[in-house]
Amino acid sequence: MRHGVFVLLLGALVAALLLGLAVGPYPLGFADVLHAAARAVGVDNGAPTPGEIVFGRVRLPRVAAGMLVGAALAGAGTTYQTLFRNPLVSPDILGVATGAGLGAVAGILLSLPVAGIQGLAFLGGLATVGLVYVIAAALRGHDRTLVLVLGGVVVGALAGACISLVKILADPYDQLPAITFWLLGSLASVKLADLATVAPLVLAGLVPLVLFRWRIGVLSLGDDEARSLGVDVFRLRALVIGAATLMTASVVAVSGVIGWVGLMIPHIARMLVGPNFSRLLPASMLLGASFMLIVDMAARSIARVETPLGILTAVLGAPFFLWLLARGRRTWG
Amino acid sequence: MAAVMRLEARDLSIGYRGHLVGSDISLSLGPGEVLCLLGPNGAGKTTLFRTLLGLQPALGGSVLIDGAPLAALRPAEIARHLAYVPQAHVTEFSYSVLDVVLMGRTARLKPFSSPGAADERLAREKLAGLGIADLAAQDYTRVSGGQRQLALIARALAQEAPILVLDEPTASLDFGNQALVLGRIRDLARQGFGIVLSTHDPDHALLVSTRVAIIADGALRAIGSPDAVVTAEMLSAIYRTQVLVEETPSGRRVCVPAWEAPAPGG
Repeated sequence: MRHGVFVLLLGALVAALLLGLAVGPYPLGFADVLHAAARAVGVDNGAPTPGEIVFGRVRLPRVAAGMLVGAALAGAGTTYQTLFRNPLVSPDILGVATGAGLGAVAGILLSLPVAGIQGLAFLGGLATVGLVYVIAAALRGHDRTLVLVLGGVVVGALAGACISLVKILADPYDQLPAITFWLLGSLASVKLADLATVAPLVLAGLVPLVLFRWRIGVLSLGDDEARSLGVDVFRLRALVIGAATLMTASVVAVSGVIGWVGLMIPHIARMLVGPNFSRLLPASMLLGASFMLIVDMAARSIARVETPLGILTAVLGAPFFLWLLARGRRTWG
Repeated sequence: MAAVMRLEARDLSIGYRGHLVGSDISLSLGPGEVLCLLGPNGAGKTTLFRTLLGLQPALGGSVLIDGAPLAALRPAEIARHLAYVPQAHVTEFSYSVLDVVLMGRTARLKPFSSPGAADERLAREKLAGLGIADLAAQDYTRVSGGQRQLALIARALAQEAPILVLDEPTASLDFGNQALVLGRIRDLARQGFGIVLSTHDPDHALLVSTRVAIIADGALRAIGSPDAVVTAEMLSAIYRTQVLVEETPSGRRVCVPAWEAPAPGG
């Protein structure tokens, strides 16, 4: 019974994965996958079929990126919600996403190559959180959580203003569409090589979250109680914020800004497995991966042009958020 | 039961950076003793508690655990000596009562570990000891205030620290739950725990404490046996209202405001 939910979540992910591989502007069949697999192990040496090329060059990287991005955003969102004891926070809360967005649009403005844009996005995200943390440290004596969250809002707003400035400065025919598209989030142009750099960074962020899973849950009781229960609150919180930020900034660097996932998914996961972080983190990441596979499948299928992911997640997320507020409970999940 | 232990405050000055709340506070507590802090709102009780628990640094003087300065200990070491019972609160997330009690095991675990079967058994024992074994699986946020307070005491017991520090354990509880919680506190002292608690009700100090400390305007006004310290003069002075301490036919002392007694039958 304890593991039943996880079996279901894993099953859902496999189903979403198969669906994600098959559905798109160029539908793929099982035969294409078999061909690709045969070639990969060196059995088939004939001319590659069109389906095989779509599978290897487009669909596979995209599906892999969807799982990685969804899992990372949901995992980071779960961590922030537990850490800040607030179920309404998300990876955007410390200004991470906006900061990363600023880095990326600056990269596009400077006509940097893709790797350069990703690097700047990553640095922008980390710099924002660093700045927020410095602000919080300077304002000692106030409620630390509140200062962190409000600092994030302020720095995020500032980064947002800078993004607007970059948009004004950008070439309206070439750079501006790229910037706009990136800010709305998309997995359409992800390559396997991008994932090879992003996946290890996501994993590096995940390791401390898994190792300290019990203590992270204790942090949700608040600073004083966690400390009186023996947790070194200051150090653990810095480590955990750093880890969750690394996960967020790494995936934002390849996917662009995709909102709402890190807010919605942890909630649904909490309804399924309860608030215990040790169970919530894996459930949330599995669910996030499935969710992103489905949303990305819709993004490439519902219209003749790609629909930006950020628009789809907002269309789903905004009503969800209102529903959460309307439930009006004092406690959550 | 852990080793016998003493908690001491020596010439303690408490407060926040640039703001002195109280000074010259010295007190000590040993096994089996119940020290009750009494004082009006804003007298510095909370600040004193936070300083005793190592949650904020002392501005002067020191807090000692068995003679060792608290300031030199890591949070986990402090947690193995002192267990804090906050006022019954509602957590943001719906943990089960058992989850909440298990969190008391944190200081006993290795950094990367989670509680195991043995920890769970111990947590259930502590719940049973307080008479709330049947609440283990229930949602902590949905049980009554008194049950939440008992669950937090069970969490402190799961911490296996010889000294318990309780912040207004009877606040916001109804009369029956107050009596229940006070009764458990008395039992725990008899088992050998050293207990510090704060309260707004001097009757509670008379009911459970072995010693009473009066904190007013940031100073320790008096410390001693309940009979010596909880007097009409002292209470009238610190609460700024006339108070009488009277004896009931059964020999108990109770505190009442010094109004005219209601007319019999009226």
